[in-house]
Amino acid sequence: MIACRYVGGDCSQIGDREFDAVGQRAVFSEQGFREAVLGNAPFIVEEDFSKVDFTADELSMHGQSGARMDPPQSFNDKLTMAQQMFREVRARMESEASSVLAEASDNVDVREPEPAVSL
Amino acid sequence: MANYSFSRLERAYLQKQPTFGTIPNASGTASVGNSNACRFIRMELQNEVALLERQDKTGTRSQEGMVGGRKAGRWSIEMSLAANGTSGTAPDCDPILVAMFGQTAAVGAGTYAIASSTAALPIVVTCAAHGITSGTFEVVTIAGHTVNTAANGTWLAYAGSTTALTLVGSDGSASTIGGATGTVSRVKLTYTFVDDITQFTLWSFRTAATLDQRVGHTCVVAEATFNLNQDVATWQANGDCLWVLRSKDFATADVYQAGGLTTFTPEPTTPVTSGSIIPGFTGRFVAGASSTTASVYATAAVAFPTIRNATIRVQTNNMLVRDTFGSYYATLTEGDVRNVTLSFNIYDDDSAAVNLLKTWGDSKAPVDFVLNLGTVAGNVWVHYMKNVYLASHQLSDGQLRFDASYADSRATTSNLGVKDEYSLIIA
Repeated sequence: MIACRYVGGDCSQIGDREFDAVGQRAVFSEQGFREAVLGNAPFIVEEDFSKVDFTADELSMHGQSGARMDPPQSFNDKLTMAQQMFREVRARMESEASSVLAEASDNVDVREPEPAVSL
Repeated sequence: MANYSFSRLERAYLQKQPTFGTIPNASGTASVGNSNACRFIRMELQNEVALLERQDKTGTRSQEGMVGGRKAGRWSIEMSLAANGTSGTAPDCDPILVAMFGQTAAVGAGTYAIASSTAALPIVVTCAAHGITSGTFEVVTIAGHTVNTAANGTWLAYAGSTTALTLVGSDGSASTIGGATGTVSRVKLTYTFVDDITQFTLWSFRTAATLDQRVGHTCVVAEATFNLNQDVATWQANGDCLWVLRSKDFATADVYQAGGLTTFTPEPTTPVTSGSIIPGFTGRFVAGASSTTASVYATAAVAFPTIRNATIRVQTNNMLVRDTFGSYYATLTEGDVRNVTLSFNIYDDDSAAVNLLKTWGDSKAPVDFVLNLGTVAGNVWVHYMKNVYLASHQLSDGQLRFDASYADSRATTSNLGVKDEYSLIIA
């Protein structure tokens, strides 16, 4: 299982769950985490999140996307850093997913399309 | 008893489709997953099969039996205009936008501290070396700037130097000079045209799972429409597809219909979507005479605060070739000249700016437009239309105030190499 935190600027829905606050915690299976990130739901693993060093006050005052009014520059900088982490992880995952898919389709016994039936 | 089919219990999944005629798959199993979900308002997926009728006289006026002809599909979708909400991250509808423009969006990067801003029309922001080529335009987002707060927001910016950015259509004259607070961000997605035609796959899954599930594959975008000044901003798109494959008919589907699948994939269980609606009346409408000298446009373009509504129509004229010999199905893609138009309606007044619009319409001097939809960073859609030949206005007294309407006015590229008649930036 992978424990991670939401770092989106707005909100995301995963199944019936809604995420709309920076720092909101979720625990996914490895596959679930991959699907969330590849689906552009901005999550980073807790270890990375702790490196960003959001304070509890920052998260409680400015974390909720709907209530975020003019957060201080320090919060914006941290959020930018966290979102950059997400984009990097996602890019890496996407590249891996593409190569796995390409490999799988290389192994498929591709049938030539049959000629269309004449009248 | 048969299961109900509630229209609210339908979900859409979108996938980029790299290969003509082949639904993305691994060993015949579709790769559609939770990450491909996309919210939508309504969708249509429909097959069109021609009927072939023998024309010969029969000696009676009764029609004899006919046989099926060429086979094709159509798709259309309407959805709220909703970006991801996190700048630089693709929206759920990305596969349609990619098919519309012919290539994936460029992702911008970099955030730069602001040193100061002018209290002028337009605002010029001075910041750390921003990396935008001097003398060119790029969309940037200003956040956290105090005092001269009119600078905050998403702007088309002109790089006057390595550290100066003119915010096109801005006005800081009611404020005072801004200090060293806030940032300039280049993080965004930029969709621009290429002449290639790419496809996507559109899945419709309904509840209960025993209902007929559908997938339209090899979809191309023929047309997309964006509307300004709705309560909730929406957009629509439509086009051809090779075939709409139904789960109930999968067992009898031929190789073209099946699109490379050996089994009809059930709906993913935990769809992932992101983003919120945009109040469709929030944003900015900026126009200025097109100029070969970028700095002239940057300083002359102004915002028009009394726009009533506007519609951007992007006709890519992408389609599937349906007339090749030897096949019932489309076998290729083709495309005609793109037609990107803007129509809008503005309350009439005696200002110099409103008069300029009328002059441009009558003189056929090209105009560049920058239309922002939304104001919340991460969910601002910037429609940048260049060299628009405005239709002559039509004055109307059909409501309490006079207004001036401009019918579909076509955007054109600056030169044939750049294909810059229209670009879409999500910032």
